[in-house]
Amino acid sequence: MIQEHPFIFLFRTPGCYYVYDVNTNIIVMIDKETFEVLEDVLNDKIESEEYFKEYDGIATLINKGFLSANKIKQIEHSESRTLLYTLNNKVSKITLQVTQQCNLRCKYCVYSGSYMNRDHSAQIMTFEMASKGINFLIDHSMDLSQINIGFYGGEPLLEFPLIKECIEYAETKAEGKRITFNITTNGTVLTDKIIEYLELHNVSLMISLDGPREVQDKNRRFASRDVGTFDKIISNLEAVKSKYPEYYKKISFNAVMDPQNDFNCSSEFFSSEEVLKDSFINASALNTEYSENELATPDSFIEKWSYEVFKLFLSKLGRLDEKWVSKLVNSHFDRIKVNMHEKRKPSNFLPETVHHGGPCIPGAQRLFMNVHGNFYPCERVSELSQAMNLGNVDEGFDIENARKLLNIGNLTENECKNCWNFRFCNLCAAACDNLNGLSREHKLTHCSGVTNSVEDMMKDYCTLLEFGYTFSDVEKPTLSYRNAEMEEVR
Amino acid sequence: MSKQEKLIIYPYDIQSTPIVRHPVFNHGYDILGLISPNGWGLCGKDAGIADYGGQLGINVSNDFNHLLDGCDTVLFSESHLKLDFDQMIKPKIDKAIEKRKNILCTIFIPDELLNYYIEKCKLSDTYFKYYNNSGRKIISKEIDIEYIHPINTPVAFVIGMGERCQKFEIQLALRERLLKMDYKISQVGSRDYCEMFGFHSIPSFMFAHTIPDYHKVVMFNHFIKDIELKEQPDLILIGIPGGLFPFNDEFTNKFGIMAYEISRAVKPDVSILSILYEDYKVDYFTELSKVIKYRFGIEVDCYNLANVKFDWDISSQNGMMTYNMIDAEVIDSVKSQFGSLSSPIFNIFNHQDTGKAADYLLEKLIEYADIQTI
Repeated sequence: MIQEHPFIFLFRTPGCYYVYDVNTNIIVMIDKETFEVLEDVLNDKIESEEYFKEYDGIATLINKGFLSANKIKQIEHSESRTLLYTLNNKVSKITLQVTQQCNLRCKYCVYSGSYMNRDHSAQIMTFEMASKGINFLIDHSMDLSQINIGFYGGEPLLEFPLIKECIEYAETKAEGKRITFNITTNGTVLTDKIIEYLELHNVSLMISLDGPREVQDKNRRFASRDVGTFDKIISNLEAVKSKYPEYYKKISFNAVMDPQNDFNCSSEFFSSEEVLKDSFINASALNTEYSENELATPDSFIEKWSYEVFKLFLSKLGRLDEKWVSKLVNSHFDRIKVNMHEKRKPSNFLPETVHHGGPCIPGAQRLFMNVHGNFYPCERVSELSQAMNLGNVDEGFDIENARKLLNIGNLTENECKNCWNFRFCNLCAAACDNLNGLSREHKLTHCSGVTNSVEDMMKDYCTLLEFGYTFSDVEKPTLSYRNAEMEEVR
Repeated sequence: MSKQEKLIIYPYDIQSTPIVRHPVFNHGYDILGLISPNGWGLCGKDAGIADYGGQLGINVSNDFNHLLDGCDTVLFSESHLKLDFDQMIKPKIDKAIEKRKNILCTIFIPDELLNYYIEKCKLSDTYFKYYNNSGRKIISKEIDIEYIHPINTPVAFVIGMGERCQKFEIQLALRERLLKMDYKISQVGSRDYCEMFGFHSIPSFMFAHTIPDYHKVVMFNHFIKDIELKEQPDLILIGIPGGLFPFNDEFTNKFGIMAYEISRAVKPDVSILSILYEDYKVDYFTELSKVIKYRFGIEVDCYNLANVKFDWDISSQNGMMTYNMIDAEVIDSVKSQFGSLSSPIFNIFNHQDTGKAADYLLEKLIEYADIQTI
């Protein structure tokens, strides 16, 4: 039996065989025989180390620096040592929960009662509290030329006068720094007065809209009277588009994909609905963290979604016009491109000390402050969780807790050190939180989902390459030598 | 001797910190106040927070108008975070001139406006001193020589692995120390407004696009030779702008071309290399000194470990170089791990180290001078 297995992951597409070499972070196409030898090694079916190392295909890989058995020695996030500095000087954003109240009662909302989170309430943020949050952001962003303030709820626009006060306060106080604002809203309370103000102050707006009437109204319903919100939102959007066409172009939409709905129906809606067909649509999965109920995805939803992804790939390969591809799957290709092509850099070896991918720097990138002035890493975590509390606006950051949230790899140290997906892991602290604290067991329940998803991503990436797709490196302009002069070409 | 002028600096950030840490002005200014825009997050804090180099005992203010009333001179200083000139800087220059204050300025101002300011100050019997070479037009002259002169005075280089690794701080600290020891030094600093402090800036021709690189090498050598002949110093201290190597394909430090050109023009007798903070192993220094020796012909005599760490993730995410700072005291404990190195590591923010670094470089010069070659 071979003592030290190479640190690799084997996978195949319908046409080819591959090895992902964890140390070098490189995917190598190999022949079937070499693939089988490596498979046997991993399954302890090869006794002779000499046979293994002298096998032609293996020897070639070893000679080129692949198949090392080297593994990580210690798990520690690279930002751990500079965490204090980062939280003192590089907080780029604060999201203010201006109210816990909402005029809707969406069935899957994390505040609806079916999640382990707070419920909707009449609590609102005072201006005094909001201004403390804004001052905190300014005080903790010395190194940044730009900061962002977000407004969140409940439905934040129910507290529009407070939002106005905050924007004007921030504009005065943040002198010398570029400041941007954004609001996530359900789109039901938009008025001309509000839009005029948002346009004047360049506030980005993201509206939650899940799909056509039957989809939207199934989940998103008014609290005061049990009716759906679709008609109200569409009429608001039509008014905004006709009166403020320039501002309308900047509005983006978030569609929560409830697997219980008909995928094709939503997909068709976003492509054909007049008021939306030119807009940017971000499709997001239903939040499964903290859910009290098991959220299963029916096969029919997966089939339809997969077929749209197939069409997306055909369009990328020039075999299908883009107009036939659902807007809702566009981000799937971007994810492959970013993770497999742009961010995957070759290396000689895994570093001795490193942390798996996933955690953001808690507090620095998406700091969320609730109506009481408590801090959380982002708006998606449960306000009931002590483990997620990052301190508060009066006493500042709880650095030790931030350090724990940054280093969740320590919960599952042995598993992580031996996991081929170490670099592509996307689990953050929210995936470890069971409301009683950061839980190793809770985190491990997510691992197979993440590795399966990355395996699929590798297969898709390689399949696209097999069919001749060229991933471009030229997001930035390239200089071209022509007529004795350098000129920029796209 | 004329009276000390009360000076305020706007907009204050890390770029101005070395000026506050060291008595760099060759004639009298007392720093009365430092002002930053409120949004920069410095106001109300000790000015030393800007570089994490220890307290300076002066708090940063956001009240320009109040401090303007009590000062004689305003330094409008280039800053790390940029401000809109028309919105933020110009109204304050106008106000300062209106209140008959002297002006020092290292921020770029278009020629026409600059001439207007200079004239206006003359009329009100104040001065407007401008120290910024970035807009200067370089007339490319054909030169037909390729030879360079030997420099017979000892030369010390301050080099760095990148921007923001405390090169200027080191240059000022060494200057302060060497002047106190009564050495006569000539200095060429890595920033383009060093004339404000009474020494030379890297000459503008080194940044010109119209001059061939080999001419720059020749011209820089002759520039140093000219300084040597005219100033007859005991030591020439040269701070080299920018970095030595690309960090990666995205952040290239202009490939260290400037360092290469200067190292071709002048051979240093001693050098100090400032490196950004990382979790280094001893081998790193051995390899690094070899690469620098063979690429630039520079023997690294000692290192400064800066309290600045390159932020790889955020830099890559935002497409611009960003850094993290570490408390200067942490550097003291980290550098003690490298006691076995033949070339010592210093922490320029540690006052004892500043003296030790200067003494060490001088000892090295004396040591090298012991060997007479004919």
